[in-house]
Amino acid sequence: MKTPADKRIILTFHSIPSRNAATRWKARVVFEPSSTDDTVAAVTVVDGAGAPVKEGVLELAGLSLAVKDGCAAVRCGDFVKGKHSIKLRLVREGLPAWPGVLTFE
Amino acid sequence: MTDAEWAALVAEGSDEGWKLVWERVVEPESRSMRSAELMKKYSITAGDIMGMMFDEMVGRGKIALYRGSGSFEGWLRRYARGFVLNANPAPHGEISIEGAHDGDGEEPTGMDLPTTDKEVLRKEVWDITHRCFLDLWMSDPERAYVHLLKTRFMLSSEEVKNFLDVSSTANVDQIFSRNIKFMRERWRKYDSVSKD
Repeated sequence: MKTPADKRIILTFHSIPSRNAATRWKARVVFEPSSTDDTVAAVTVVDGAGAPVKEGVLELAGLSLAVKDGCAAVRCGDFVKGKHSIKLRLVREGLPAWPGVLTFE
Repeated sequence: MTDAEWAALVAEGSDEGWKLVWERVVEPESRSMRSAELMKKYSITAGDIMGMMFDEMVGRGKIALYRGSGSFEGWLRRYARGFVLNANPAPHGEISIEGAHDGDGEEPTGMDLPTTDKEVLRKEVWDITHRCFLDLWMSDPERAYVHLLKTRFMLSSEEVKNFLDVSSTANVDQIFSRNIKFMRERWRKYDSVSKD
């Protein structure tokens, strides 16, 4: 994979709507210009109030990404390999694992 | 190959037929002085024209309108030229997620819908587009990534191909073209439900 040399691509994923505000979350994956398979993309994960998620696991692109203080990381090549994976959710202790979807924010 | 044989291959969606569409119609038209200028103005690529042609001919069955009375190449070329001439993206009525941003202070430019209450309309556009996009994700996330990269980040088919490791730009164009059809169908479904 290779991203454009002149564009920074930020993919945003949102939790699907929930009445329980505690389950809401938002994750952003940032692909820097000219990223390749081995480039590591930064992932930020916040809760419904916009605060960094202290600890959890983001299941994205068939991967389980450890989230610590709102931050995680993914190798770009691994992300693209899992491009057909529908399963997307944030797992946090004490809360139900809550699914999400790519959005166009 | 005769025009009738070529038209039949195009109708089947065969690679051989569509390769000729690219070589004899889309590429030459995108290089013509008039089209090239408009394409630059509206940020359209030859891949976009190819996607539109596939959507129109195969998706909407317009190929059936070709009666064989003139050159097939000329007939296709008129479609390609018409697409470019009418390419102002705002009033297209395409499902453009770019035009569906919530609360951005602008009218949703990608949707050609009647306006009675602007705020309500913006919220409806936002909600329905979200639902359509969720359906697209559930059918195959790769389709949602292609749609987002093309319409939100304005990547060319070549850039999307490189980003997502899709086998060819033609494949990207086909995915995108099918996405447009899918989103239109879903939009009609949800829009009619919301009006009931």
